[in-house]
Amino acid sequence: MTDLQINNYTIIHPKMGNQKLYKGSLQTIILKLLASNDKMYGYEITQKVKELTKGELKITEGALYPALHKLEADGLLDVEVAKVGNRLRKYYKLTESGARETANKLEEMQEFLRTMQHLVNPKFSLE
Amino acid sequence: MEKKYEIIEKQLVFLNGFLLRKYPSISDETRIELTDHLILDFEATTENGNLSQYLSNELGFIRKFVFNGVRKVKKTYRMETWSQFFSFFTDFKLLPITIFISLLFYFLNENLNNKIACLSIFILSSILFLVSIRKGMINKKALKHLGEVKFLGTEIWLPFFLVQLLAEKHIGEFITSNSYLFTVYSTFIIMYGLAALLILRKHKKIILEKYKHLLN
Repeated sequence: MTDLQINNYTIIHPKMGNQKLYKGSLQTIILKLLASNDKMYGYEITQKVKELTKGELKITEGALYPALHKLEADGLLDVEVAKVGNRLRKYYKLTESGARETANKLEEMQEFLRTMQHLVNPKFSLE
Repeated sequence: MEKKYEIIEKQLVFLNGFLLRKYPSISDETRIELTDHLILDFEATTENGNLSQYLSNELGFIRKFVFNGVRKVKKTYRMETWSQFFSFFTDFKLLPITIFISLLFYFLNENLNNKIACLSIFILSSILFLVSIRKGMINKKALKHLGEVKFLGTEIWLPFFLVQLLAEKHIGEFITSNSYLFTVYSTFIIMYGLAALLILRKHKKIILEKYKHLLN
């Protein structure tokens, strides 16, 4: 089993392949990563998630970019284009409302995890 | 990030040319992000450094990415227009305009015949439509192909469409038969049209500033 650390809480997931469980958490994962890293670009986010989960969780580009663009359109992310080497790169960072939304989403996630722990494994619940 | 291969200048030129040729309407921002992603992924995953082969495998993703970029542009314009529209009812500085327009249409419907009331809304919305075309549209050849420019005026079509509905005999009669309904309907048309015009002008300025390098 591999663990994905989100704000001191752990999602314990079964053998991967069950990526469906993570679908609803994609925005939270992105927001949390940006909260801890100031600014990041799309490819970096996919690699960071892979690294943090030791390759168990892979965010495909087909899922990542629509999620990033939605967060940007909703005003939760700001973009910045910077020159890196001989080419340009688009970076994402949290806006003020994005930072507030991150705190809300993480709170929701913790609540969800506590409930799930109570349900699936009452003996080892997080509380 | 681990690299299996370092892209060469010739391949960069090929990639930029490929995207420009295949998707000429994508915005600078979308192109920058897509190009950067493709380069990083190509460098990390290629086994033989064959860019053409890589691009043909990624065509599905590229198409979706571009489509998503276009959808984002449309969504931004729509959201901003609605937000501006609601501000006419919530912002104390703008509220007098809304009240004036509402009272005007109520007065027209109560005191004049239905045809004149409908004609007045048609004239007002046409003025808004013409001003939008005159002041809001970007006719610069160098920018016409951009998605941001293509979809700039799309929101102005909603009020124009609603005015056309008034010309339909049964719908027109139904709406004008009730002063309150006519007032709400007409106020919506004018305020939404006004909101669309303001957003159009705001984005025109942003686009001309953002792409001034293409105009020089």
